[in-house]
Amino acid sequence: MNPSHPEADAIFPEPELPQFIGGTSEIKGYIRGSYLLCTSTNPLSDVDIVLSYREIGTYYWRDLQRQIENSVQTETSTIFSEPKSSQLVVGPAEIREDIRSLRAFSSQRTFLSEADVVIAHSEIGAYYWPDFQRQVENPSSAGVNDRIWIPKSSQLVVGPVGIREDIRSLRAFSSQRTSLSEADVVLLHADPGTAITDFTQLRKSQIEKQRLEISKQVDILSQREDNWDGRGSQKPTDLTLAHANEVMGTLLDSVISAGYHWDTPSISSDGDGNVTAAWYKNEQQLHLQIGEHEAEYFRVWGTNIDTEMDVDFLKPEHYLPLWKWLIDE
Amino acid sequence: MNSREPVQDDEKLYRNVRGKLEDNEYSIQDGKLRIEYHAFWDSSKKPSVDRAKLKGCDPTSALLSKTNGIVSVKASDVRAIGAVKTRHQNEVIADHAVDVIPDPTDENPAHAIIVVKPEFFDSKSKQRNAFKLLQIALAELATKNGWTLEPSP
Repeated sequence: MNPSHPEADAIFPEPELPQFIGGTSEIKGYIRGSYLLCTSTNPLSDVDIVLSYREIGTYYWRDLQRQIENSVQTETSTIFSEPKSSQLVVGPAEIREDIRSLRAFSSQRTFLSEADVVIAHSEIGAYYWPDFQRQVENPSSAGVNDRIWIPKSSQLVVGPVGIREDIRSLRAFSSQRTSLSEADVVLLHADPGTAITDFTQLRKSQIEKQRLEISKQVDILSQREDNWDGRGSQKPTDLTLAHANEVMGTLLDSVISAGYHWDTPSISSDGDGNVTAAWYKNEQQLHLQIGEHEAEYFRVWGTNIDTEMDVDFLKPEHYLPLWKWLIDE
Repeated sequence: MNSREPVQDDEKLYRNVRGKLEDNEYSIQDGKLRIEYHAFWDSSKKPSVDRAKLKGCDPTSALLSKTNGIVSVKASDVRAIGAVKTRHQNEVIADHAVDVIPDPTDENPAHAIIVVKPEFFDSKSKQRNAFKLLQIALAELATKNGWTLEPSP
């Protein structure tokens, strides 16, 4: 920190209208600047998760608010339906902000993570202030109530380690692992007011969200009876459904943990009662066929069975190579 | 035209596709139609098709249900899918050529079936996998051609 910096006073003011939304003690909300944030503890992450934000004076997502207000603290598995245009971000513990020109950055320290998390409100290709980053990277030198001074010069961020999309695929983000923090520091390329920060946490959220989506689709299959399609197809057994959840859950973990974007597959069951999953990427297709005790994969890149398809038993060591093949990496 | 005459290479073949998305016989991927291989499943591993010529080239006459859609594949494309292989310990022990043969019934003289020669054998799981490759290939052909008749809501 450099509290003596001449621009130290040029700080974006603290929110004028902080307030708690109420509901359960798990829920925190406040109005900050022109944004309304609601947070909720995610059972699978160590930090609060912000569920929504919205400009004051516009309609808030009543459905989400209702869900939050009606949630029961003991129901740690409560899952909120995500309203349109909202996204998960790491919840704030302490807000620091600076605004320079058209760009605004804020950083947040989470209660339970060691690293500060940066929320950058900026446009794609915008500049980032390395001085600011240095301050964020040295949170131990700053009290939680200290503000970050505005750097004088800006500079394009060098060498993002990866481009990832947010969970709703609406925006692109770049992230950079800092040498002094456990978490990726993320530069967010999005409209002001949107924010995603700690990908370590985000991955957990993604995995949980996608696992639920998979389970939901597999659950639908459990309602099928024999001859469910009028063509004599068998229903999947409970054992097959459980195996499918396990296989796809493990695949999901592998993919997201390796930093790849996950696409929810088309999930169904086939005539023999196997659970099937399919992904399509341009000319490439990956199909899984999951039975009670074994699973097979089919790779397809054309219509010729001899030269453009192959099939083999699916083993955990195949997961990442198959995914890389699918996304053509 | 005699319904027992061999299916010519240039013949168009109709296949019913269930019209409800939740039946997973088709999907929309990135805004594009995708016929799923489930649409070509058949318990006897001989998917049924109707010969367009014998249906007066009217796909509506091939509908098994009002809500179904119809897709088409060309007989020559089906035959060009390649040889479906049965393997044993990674060795190919049989090549199954894909063909379309007439299978007229009293109710449906246009009925034909897609078969492999020789018929699938070996374990059930090997037959299933070999047939699934055939289903995938047929679905790919159908996807390329798009709807001949879109399902009704």
